[in-house]
Amino acid sequence: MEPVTNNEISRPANVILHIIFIILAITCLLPIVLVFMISITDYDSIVLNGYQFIPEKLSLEAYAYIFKDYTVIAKAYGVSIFVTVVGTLLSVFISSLYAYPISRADFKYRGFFAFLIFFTMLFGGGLVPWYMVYTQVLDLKNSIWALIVPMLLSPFNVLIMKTYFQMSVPPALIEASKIDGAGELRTFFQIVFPLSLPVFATIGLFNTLHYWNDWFNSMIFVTDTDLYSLQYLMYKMISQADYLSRNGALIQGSATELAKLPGETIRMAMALIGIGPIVLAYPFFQRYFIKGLTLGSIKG
Amino acid sequence: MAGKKGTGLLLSFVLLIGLSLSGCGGNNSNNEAAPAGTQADSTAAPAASDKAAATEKTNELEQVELSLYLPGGPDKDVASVEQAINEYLKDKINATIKINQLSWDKPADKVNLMIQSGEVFDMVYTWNFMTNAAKGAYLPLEELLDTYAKETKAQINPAYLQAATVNGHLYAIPTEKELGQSVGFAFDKAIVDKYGFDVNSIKKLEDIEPMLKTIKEKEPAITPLFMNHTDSLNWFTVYPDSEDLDGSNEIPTLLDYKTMKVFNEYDTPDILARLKLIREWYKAGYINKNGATDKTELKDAVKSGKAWFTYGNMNPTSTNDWSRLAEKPMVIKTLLPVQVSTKSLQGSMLAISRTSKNPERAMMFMNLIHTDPVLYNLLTFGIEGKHYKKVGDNTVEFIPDSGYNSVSSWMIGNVLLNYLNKDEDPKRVQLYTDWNKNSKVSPVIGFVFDSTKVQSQIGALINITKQYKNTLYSGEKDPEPILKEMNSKLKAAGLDAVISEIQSQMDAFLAAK
Repeated sequence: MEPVTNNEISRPANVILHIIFIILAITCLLPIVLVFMISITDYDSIVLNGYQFIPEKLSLEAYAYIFKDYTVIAKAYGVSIFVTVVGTLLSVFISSLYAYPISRADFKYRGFFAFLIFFTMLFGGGLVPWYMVYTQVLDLKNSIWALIVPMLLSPFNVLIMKTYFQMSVPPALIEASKIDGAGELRTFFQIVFPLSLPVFATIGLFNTLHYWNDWFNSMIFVTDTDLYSLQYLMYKMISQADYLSRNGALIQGSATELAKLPGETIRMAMALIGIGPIVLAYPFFQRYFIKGLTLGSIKG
Repeated sequence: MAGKKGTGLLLSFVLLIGLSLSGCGGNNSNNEAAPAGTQADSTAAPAASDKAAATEKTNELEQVELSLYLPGGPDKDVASVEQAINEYLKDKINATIKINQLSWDKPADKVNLMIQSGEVFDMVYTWNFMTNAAKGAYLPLEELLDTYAKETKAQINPAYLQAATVNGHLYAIPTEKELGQSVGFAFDKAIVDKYGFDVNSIKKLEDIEPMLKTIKEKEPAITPLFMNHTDSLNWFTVYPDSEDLDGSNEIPTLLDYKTMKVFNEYDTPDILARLKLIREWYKAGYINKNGATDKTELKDAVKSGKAWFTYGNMNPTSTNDWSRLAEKPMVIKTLLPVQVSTKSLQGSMLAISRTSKNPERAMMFMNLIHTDPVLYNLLTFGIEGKHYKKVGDNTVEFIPDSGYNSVSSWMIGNVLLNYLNKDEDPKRVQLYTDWNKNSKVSPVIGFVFDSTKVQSQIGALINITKQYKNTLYSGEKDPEPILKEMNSKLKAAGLDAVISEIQSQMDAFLAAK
């Protein structure tokens, strides 16, 4: 037996920890496996046997239905990716531009602007005025900007950023750069921005998830199939399959074909498709989180 | 550092508020959306406007675009249908049509937003008809109907128009289809034949008991009485001579036709006896164990051989519809006399929006979908050769995945103008006529309950009935204590106030009659 050095934990503890983490990992992975298995199970066998890890009869009917019209899915993917990328970049940029000035103690109107953003966080106008602004004032109905603009600025994100700037960018540093001749923009982009990468990454991730998962704006503002985001397309397909299968007998004509759809397997197949590239975003942002953690560990 | 501590506190305060906000708000986008408006101008590119520039034409009628909002879809190929319709409409009423399909997810909410925000649009399928009509969302149609839709007025059953009348004004034109609704069973024909069941002998729900017993003994693979969380035996009320009057259809407010009194049907000995019977069936093993929560659709259960009958609303062509859905021959037995109530008539109607710029033209269009088979079939079936093929004089076959299939004829217009679908019963017109002839019209037709005064109670009551109904009807538990508990909760939530409100409106309605 090798001697136990100071940095190692004892063998039994190590084994137990491993087992615990293996179990945790399995509990995280198994549901996804089950979802996948259900999505490739024949629907009749689900009705008869319930959910099974090893399906009695395989069927790709659900995927066939979803990809029957792959151009629609491809377009929705395109819309979602565009909205997520453009929306995230714009919203991080705009949030930081709002947050930075109100984090500076020497900004004369900071109290007013801080209150403004705080106030909108507490009191919203309500759904109808909100809808009116976007459809009648800005005329964004059936436009891709209707999926981006409504989520550009979140007061909550602004306040997080403001706090971060206040805590991690010493005013002395800003003063020093001013003395060295940097203008406000140069200070922001070359001094504040590199120092605040963790908060930019955090807000970026928030916004990425927010934009990727958004279906509400599509539902409210878009009736053109070309502009459906992926999540809304999925949501719509499921509710349609649900509605038609429940009310199948009431529906005449060609829609009864749709009413025969295997709802459950389609739902699972869509869950898998909907996860999509967003899982890739996590590893990308993760290194900034680690940096953020170490930064916080230094006592000031 | 004192300052740091302070900001830390502020941050946690902010976090706390943020969390509680996102917890309370049903929808985060609302909370976050409002301030975005301040930034919007700078980033918003010129929006792709879908308003077609109205090309001025000095015909008899100036050309206009009519917008039509329907449930379902949206279909991929709707543009080509629009184009075909527009070509056809040009000579008729010189209007173009823009079909907006709202898909099946909360279409009512979307229309409510449009109505509340005063958006300009023309024709809309009537979700929440009563509420919206009372709010003044729709245009009164009496004069328009008399002037621009004489043919429709002449052919439509007056009962329909009565049902669409609120406070003396006609606010919508109902779809002309089967008059009433009935509930009943659709049995798997193979099983019925195998055991020689006489389905015509079934007069009430209780009569299926011997059949359940036979299935239980002879067909171990089949659940004799299959239930799921949406379809329970509450389809079969113990009070055939009555009508559910509240707007929600979810709370116990039945009107007894004999006495014209509204009562809570869950507080009667009859319902207890019924639920006890179901409990007996459950104990005998006739009912699936997880009936209150099972999500399997009845048609799928029948199709896979797990169940041998379905139940629910039936219409004249149910035999055919269910056979197609279950993919095996079915026999139908309707249980109650076909009943025509205000609610069954209000099922699908088309209204003209208060904000419409061209109500006259909209009414002309509505007249055409009730009387012109060419237009009606274009709208509901699409273009010949592209979305359907003709297989007979009046019979068509749909082309699969044609990209236009979700504007159904039950939504708007006159169903009997439609071509016959290849799978449909060739006797459809006859079936509809017979069905309508045998329908019993409610004695209080035209009564619509205005629920504005008791809206909050109704919300609470719906939650309570939802909480208990499935358990009660699934037979899983002894019904007596559950009924007691449910009724005391209903009372506490203000059921009596709702009932007396309905009763006083009903009395006023009867007095005015």
